[in-house]
Amino acid sequence: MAGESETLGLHAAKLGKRFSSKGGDVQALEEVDLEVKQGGFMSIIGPSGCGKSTLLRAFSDLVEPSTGEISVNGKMPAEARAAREFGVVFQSPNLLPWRTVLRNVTLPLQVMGVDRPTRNQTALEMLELVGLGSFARHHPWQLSGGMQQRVAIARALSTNPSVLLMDEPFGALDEITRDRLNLELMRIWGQLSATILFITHSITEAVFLSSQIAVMSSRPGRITELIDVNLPYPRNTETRDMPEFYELVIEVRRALVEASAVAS
Amino acid sequence: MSKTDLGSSPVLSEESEDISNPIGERLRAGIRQILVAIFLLVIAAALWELAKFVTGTGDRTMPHVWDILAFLGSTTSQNENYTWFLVKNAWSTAKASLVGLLVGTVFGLTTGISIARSKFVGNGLMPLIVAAQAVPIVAIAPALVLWLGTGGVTKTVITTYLTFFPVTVATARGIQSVPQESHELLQTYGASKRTSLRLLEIPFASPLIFVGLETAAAFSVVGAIVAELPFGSKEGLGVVILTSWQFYITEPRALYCVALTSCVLGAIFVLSVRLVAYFALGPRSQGEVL
Repeated sequence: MAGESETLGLHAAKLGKRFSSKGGDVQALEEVDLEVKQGGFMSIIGPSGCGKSTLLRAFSDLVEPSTGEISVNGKMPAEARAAREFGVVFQSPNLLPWRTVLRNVTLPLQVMGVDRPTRNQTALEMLELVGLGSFARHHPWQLSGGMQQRVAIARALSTNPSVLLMDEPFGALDEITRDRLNLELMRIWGQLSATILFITHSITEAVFLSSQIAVMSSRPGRITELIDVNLPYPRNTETRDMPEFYELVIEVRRALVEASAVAS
Repeated sequence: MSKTDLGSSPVLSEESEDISNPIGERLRAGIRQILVAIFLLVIAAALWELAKFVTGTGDRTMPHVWDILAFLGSTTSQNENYTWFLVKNAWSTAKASLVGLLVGTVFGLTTGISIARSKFVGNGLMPLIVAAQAVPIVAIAPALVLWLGTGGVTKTVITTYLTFFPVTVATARGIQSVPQESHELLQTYGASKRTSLRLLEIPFASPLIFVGLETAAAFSVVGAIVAELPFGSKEGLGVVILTSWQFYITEPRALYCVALTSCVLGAIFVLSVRLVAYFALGPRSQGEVL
């Protein structure tokens, strides 16, 4: 067994996933090798249907891989889930409309059996972290889409996970809200030093957030290129004006074009 | 603003913290609803009188509305106020309806949950339940009396039989329409089936379950009255309906009074369920009891 520092973070080796359906089998993932170091921020970008979500779902134990190996902090996804190693943020906020904002954030803690005073206190702290402390008593429908997604992030953070798996969390938001939430996410990540796997369609979002970007091609879903993003942290609004930022955007776009050329 | 459904609510700005639905506004909305209800009752009475006038129906077949209402103030042969007599019998029916409704609800929830949970159970059970509902209750009621006697058990069985179906269907449909992503959310927390049921499925389905309960509440009164009709019960609206019908030639107004009482009892049951729903569902209820 390797040292602990090597097993922390996310690992996938020769990961494959085949879905069988009436229309024939689909190879969603093929021979995917991936490593996200502890505290790293990896974005996965690729065309629709390239298997990015399947990859994230494999890490979050929602999809069983067909072949290959996968681990979260050195554990199998099911074990990692039981040990509350990761939190998941979905594309839609996925809040329960009958619960207040606070009680949405306490949900995972309630499932764990944490007592009410403790879970309320933790949830309030998380809401403060995402800047929604004063909305604890509201219901989800009283919040804008961006605020709802921040609640979803607070909920994912409430179990204090060391890994955050985010499946296009800002995909449904407008550009302005998305930029603001990207800044928020950078601030939160800076405070928590969690490992993040982030699925996105947006090149600028991927460049702005990540320490590394994996570009995927579709059918079969493969990682075609890994791009290091050597922009300094903490990242802020000035980051988007740096020439290096634009160079990276161009590089990722080129890699994406090549990836889709491979596919066709 | 008394209506607060999920889809069309205005989104608050980031700064706003206002959740407005002041008591005063709700009270005014309630009074407005009651006024509308009274207005509709007056219309119904007017239509009755109009139909009587246009068709030239005699007082024996269709007594005047005011004559029927006046009869409520008369005295029975036991020297008892007629309204009080009706209330007493309605109370007896209400007890039977309530027991049947509660048993039917428990039964309906359990069946609904098992149908939603298991395709196997659902596919096998659902057609049977639907077929059972097609059996006219009046047809099997005499057999039930033979097996179970004329007591409370028969009443409970018949009302349960009528009430569990809408609750079953509403529960099953409600749970089946929980979005896949919500299930996955609970799955990522490693929630057990029981926890999912308690924290996700039942709360999600509850608006629909309450719709089923409203129907069941109305059916429970019908069930109790049917159970009382021909089978040697001593009290209850069913018994009063039967005797009023037998003495219709001498006193036609009595039958209409007890029919009216049955309507009122049914309405009380349905409104009670809506009241419970109003408090249980909070902002997800339609915000109106009437």
